Amino acid sequence: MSAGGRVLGGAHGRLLPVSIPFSFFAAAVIFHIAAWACLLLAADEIPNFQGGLGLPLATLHLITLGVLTMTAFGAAFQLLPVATREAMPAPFLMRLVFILLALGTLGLTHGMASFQVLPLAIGGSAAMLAMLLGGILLSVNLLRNAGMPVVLTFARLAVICLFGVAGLGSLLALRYAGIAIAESQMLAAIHMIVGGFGFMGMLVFGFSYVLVPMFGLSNMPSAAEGLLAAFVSAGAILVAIASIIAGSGNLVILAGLAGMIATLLYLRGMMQAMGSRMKRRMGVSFVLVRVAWAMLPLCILAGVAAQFDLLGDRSGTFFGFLLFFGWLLTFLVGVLQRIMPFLASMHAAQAGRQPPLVTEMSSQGTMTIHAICHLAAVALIAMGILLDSGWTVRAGAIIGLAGALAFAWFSWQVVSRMMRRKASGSTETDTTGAAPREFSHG
Amino acid sequence: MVDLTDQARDALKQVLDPEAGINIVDLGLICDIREPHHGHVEIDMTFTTEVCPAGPYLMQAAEESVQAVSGIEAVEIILTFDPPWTPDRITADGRAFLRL
Repeated sequence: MSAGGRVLGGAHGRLLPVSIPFSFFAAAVIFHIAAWACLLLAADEIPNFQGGLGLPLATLHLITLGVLTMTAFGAAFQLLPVATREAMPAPFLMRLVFILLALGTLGLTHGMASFQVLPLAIGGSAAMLAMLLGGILLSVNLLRNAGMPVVLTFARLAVICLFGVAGLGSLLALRYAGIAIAESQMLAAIHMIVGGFGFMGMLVFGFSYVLVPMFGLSNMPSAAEGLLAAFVSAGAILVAIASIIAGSGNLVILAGLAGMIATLLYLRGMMQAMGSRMKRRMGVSFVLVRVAWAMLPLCILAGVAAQFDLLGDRSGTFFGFLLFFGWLLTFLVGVLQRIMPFLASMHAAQAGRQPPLVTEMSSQGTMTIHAICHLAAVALIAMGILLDSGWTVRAGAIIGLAGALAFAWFSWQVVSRMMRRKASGSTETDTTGAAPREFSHG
Repeated sequence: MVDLTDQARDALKQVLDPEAGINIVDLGLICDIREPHHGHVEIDMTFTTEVCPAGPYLMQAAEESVQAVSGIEAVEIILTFDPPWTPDRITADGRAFLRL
């Protein structure tokens, strides 16, 4: 066997069975619809939500666990082994993470929405187990030192935060069983910071350093600045936690400043990549990504403003909405619009034949409808929270739900085209009518 | 006498990067093609990023494409990230295609 063959064999081993990443993505699509539907039902409660059980909390966890964490695991299980050049362990463990997380999210959010402690406790335990198992699988893979130090540093920080957010979530859930270990508002605030900026934020930063240059065909951003952004981000989160525990306004400002420095370093890297890109047209998905980038500094400012009540009673809700819907969800759906057709193209490839082009696997019209609805919904709901207008939140939620349905239709189109290409073997024409490409020379 | 490395390069131009829609030679993924022994072709290849999920398929497609060339008995694909890929590696034809 040639050296090339050996490299190739190892590389194939690192591409997961198609059912694993797409199970996570499919569940995320369903939870995405459920989250917007819950937000619609909870519209009147949203502007003045201050925490506690109910539909708004269930909505938040449908997004954080059902959509963001679910997608994060699907993408990390697929991409990290390629970065570390180390295959993931047995697929059944990743499937177990999926089952525990899906059922856990269902139980937890049902318990939150219906004020029932039993499903909340069972679901929360299952979700926590999923996060611990997923975190261990990723940690084992990340022990290997390979290339891409910026990506791996962010991934390692994200996994540390994942364990933190799971532990804090468990402490919060214990409160509903009558066991209060610490003041719940403080725990909830730390849980939100570690989950939002820590686990999810670090993954967003890390994946950005790979995906943006890859999709734009551009230079990699500066590794030194990327590493600096990682360490400053981690410092900002630690200071933010200290500010919550100490109730110190000065520490809030310090955390905000550190967060802004990390953000500027990250955005500078992204601008370097975008500025040197060879691909001019980045499509509607990158409109979403750019909006998400703009949301990040706004989100940090809103977080600092919330601590000083500069935006009124609803400033905390406004901050949380910008964090989870404005920045994280907008970035995630933008990336999913690109990565799902890309992975579908890879998995649709037949031996001896080329993978279909990514453009053949996606639908521009559906992506555009979803993007417009998503952005309009985020803008309306943010306005509704600030103006204390349930009707504005409701209008935004209806549009967001329409967008979520468009996104589900887009996802179905991608999967059905992939399955059709796989089923058609090596002789059929594709959906565009173009003949499949194959290699033959003489 | 036919130069097998030229034929291998032409064959590699049939392999398209599914994301960019451009062939891997014009994309600059092929660093070097050698024929150390008669009928034995070695190809140094890279990806735009080490984390590229398309990488395994591009390597497989490159190997199969070159193996289909008459006169080539063995193909060895050697993956390298040193030096890393940059947009400067894209050919003039590739740049023209991407600007469309």
